[in-house]
Amino acid sequence: MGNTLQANGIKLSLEMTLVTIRVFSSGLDPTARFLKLMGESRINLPFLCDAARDTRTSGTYCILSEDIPRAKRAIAGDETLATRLKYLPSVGSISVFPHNFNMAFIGAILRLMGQSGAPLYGLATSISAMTMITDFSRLKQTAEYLTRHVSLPGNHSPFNPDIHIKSM
Amino acid sequence: METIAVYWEKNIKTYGIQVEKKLCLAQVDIQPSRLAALGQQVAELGRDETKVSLILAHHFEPESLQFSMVFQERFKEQLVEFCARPSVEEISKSIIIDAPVEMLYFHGPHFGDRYGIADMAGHALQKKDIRYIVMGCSAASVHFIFPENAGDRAKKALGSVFNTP
Repeated sequence: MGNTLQANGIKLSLEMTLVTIRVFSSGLDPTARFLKLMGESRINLPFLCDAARDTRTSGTYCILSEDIPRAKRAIAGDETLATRLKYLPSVGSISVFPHNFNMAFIGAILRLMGQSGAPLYGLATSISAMTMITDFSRLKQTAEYLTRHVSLPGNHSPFNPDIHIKSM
Repeated sequence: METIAVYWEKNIKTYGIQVEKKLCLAQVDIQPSRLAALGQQVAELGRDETKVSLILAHHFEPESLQFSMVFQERFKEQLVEFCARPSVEEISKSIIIDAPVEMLYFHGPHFGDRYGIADMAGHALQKKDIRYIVMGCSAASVHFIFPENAGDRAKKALGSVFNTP
């Protein structure tokens, strides 16, 4: 594959934990309960994907690893919810931008992600960026793999975040 | 160096709540190991200048990576043709096309770094008994996909708790 893809930047996140909820019966609204607890505990969710099909609900959320002890304390008070959550520690996000809603670009990035061998746990497009969740230990290596096929401007900013905004 | 700043709003500010109607939602479930093959197929779909309005993906089930892809109605033909390709059927565990659907989205200042946005939006919809098919948040964007005719009601519900210009 030639070096034909163009992007303005690639950004990597801080270390996060992936939280999943899967409910296969009606009558429970685990997402609402989870979001309420996180909101009340002032915990940000940098990534969220939630889908419902028939009576099944499946949600995937990212929480900064430093916030996980507070999140677990908040969730412990809701036993029904707590038993339905699964945690995958040490994940991170790679954001490539802009995607310009272009399927050729997005498809090529997905193909590269698949070829890199890094697992994909989640993906979401925003107004500009395409954000993918994978193992934190593989973030830098995956970003380097992408840059073998994606041209970035010579003056693009560093991959790693230079500031850390924390909600209090 | 640590800098502490306070950003507080009585009502959370957005840059506007938008609703798009008459959209197509394709939900394609694949085995995670087939990601590169799906990417290849998606890239080929893009050669026809097909634009996607939104893509979300996550593990709907443990060994199943579900892609939710939203397109404008004018791309429906390409989408149906795409989903019927043997090469796409071969890598898919299931394909569901839902149309028409409606998409509501909004962006706001520093949404990617702030807590409580998704909770406030979800709560406002729940109070009006408005169910979504898919919800996604990343960076400063929040997206919901609804069945037909729910978009305007959802916009009204969210307009009561978020500030819009």
